[in-house]
Amino acid sequence: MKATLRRIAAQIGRPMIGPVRSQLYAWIDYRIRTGGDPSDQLKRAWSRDVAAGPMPVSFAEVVPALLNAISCTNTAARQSRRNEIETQQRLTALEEQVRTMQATIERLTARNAGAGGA
Amino acid sequence: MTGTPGSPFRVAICSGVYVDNDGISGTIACKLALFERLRRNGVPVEATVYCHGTDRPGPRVTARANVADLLLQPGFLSADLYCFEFGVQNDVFDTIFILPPEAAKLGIYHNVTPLELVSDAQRPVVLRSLAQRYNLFETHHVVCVSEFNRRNLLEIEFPPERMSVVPAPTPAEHLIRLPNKLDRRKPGAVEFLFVGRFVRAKGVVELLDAADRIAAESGPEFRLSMVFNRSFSDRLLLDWLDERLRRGPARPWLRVLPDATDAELTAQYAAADCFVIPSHHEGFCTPVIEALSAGCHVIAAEAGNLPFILDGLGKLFPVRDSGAIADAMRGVLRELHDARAAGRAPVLDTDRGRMPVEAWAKAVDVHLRGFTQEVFEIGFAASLRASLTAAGREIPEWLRPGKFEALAGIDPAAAA
Repeated sequence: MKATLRRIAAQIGRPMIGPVRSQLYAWIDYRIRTGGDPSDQLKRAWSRDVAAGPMPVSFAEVVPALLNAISCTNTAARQSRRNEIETQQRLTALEEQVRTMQATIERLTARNAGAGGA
Repeated sequence: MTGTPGSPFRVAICSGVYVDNDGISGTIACKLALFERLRRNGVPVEATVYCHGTDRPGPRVTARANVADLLLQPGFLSADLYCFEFGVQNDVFDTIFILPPEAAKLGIYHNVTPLELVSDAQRPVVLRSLAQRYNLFETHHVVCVSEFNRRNLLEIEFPPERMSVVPAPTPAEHLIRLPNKLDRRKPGAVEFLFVGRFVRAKGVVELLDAADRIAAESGPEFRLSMVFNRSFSDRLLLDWLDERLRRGPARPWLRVLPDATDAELTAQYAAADCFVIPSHHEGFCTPVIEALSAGCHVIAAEAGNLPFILDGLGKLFPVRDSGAIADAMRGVLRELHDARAAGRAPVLDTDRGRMPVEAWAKAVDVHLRGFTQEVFEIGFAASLRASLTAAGREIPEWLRPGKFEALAGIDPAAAA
């Protein structure tokens, strides 16, 4: 999917995700406002930029790829946050265990010292 | 706001596919029927299914293979409420990221089969489905079709206050009510029934092993009927079954019934004494409700939603253990055989304890009331309200508690 996105991003001369997502929103907004086919808008916009060459992608090709990329990015962000929380919870549990062990060691040390003195 | 004044309240039901013989599609059909009934009763509401493919065409179904084409469909981007049915990855679900911000979004979670239970060929789509499951966080509320599914979402930290459990309704064409059947059986072979896809994850290999063991003993006579749909089954496993039946010993006790019609399936439930479901995983398991409704005792693997949907009214056995399945089947076989021979009512071994069949039938009756069409519709309406409230939208008059039940024609006794 990332490869597809990179290819599309390169073809339309835009960086990944953020601006491409904005472009997608713009297309959808165009559809809502005008009722027209965003592909037509894309074609017109493309044809104004002579340097861009022939239009490499259509709305029908770009939309599924971009939506999927947005979904994957969202999932990765949520999973990353979840991993962070889990790691923090494990760390807290480990710190608690260490404190318990330290307390046990101190108690045993004190008892041994007491026994030695008796 | 509740949409443009004078225009109907629009509901977009989004799903990968909408087809016959599919559990998710069955619940979509129930929702469409509900909205159509409301509309006939004068409620200004319109529901449309948006999907990638269907074999149920109609004026309320819009199917386009490409999600871009769906986005361009009139009405798709102007719905008041979106209902996303999710069990398998589909592009329609990704439209959730570009819907108008004021739209209410409801997720319906049907579960994703665990990765370890699918074939290599299915792994990519399951991986994509597990990833897409996080799209549910973008909804305002999620309906889980089972308690097991609710716990499944809790595992990925989904906020519990944004979830509710609304069991999927059981299709009426499979439901028969034979509550006291086991009390009236005549002596003869005890009938076991399996209904499900013929795939390893349904435990069919262990079930056949277990039945072979019992058949090798000199116990009471029994029969095992296995009903499944060939098109949803594992082709290699069906070949393995054919080979096993051809080469192995004669199995007069086994009936293999692929592609049974609704009427044939209902007849199987009516004839069965005990339903066996050794699945390794179940997100809901409608056949358990169908079997209980038909008065069958149920023995099931302790996996997925099976412990929740049985609620102690069947007997659970450890998953993937053919010896345990054989023990459970043997226990049912002996009790039903002995009771019939003695002319007494059987006492069923359940996870609630040993229950005389009459008491068991009463408990099943109470249990089944939680799985009716009415309970589903009331729960679904509550989840629509929860979505609208979370989206900051006004709840339409027809959807308010009390008013909804009256307009949907739900019996007040059932609602209570």
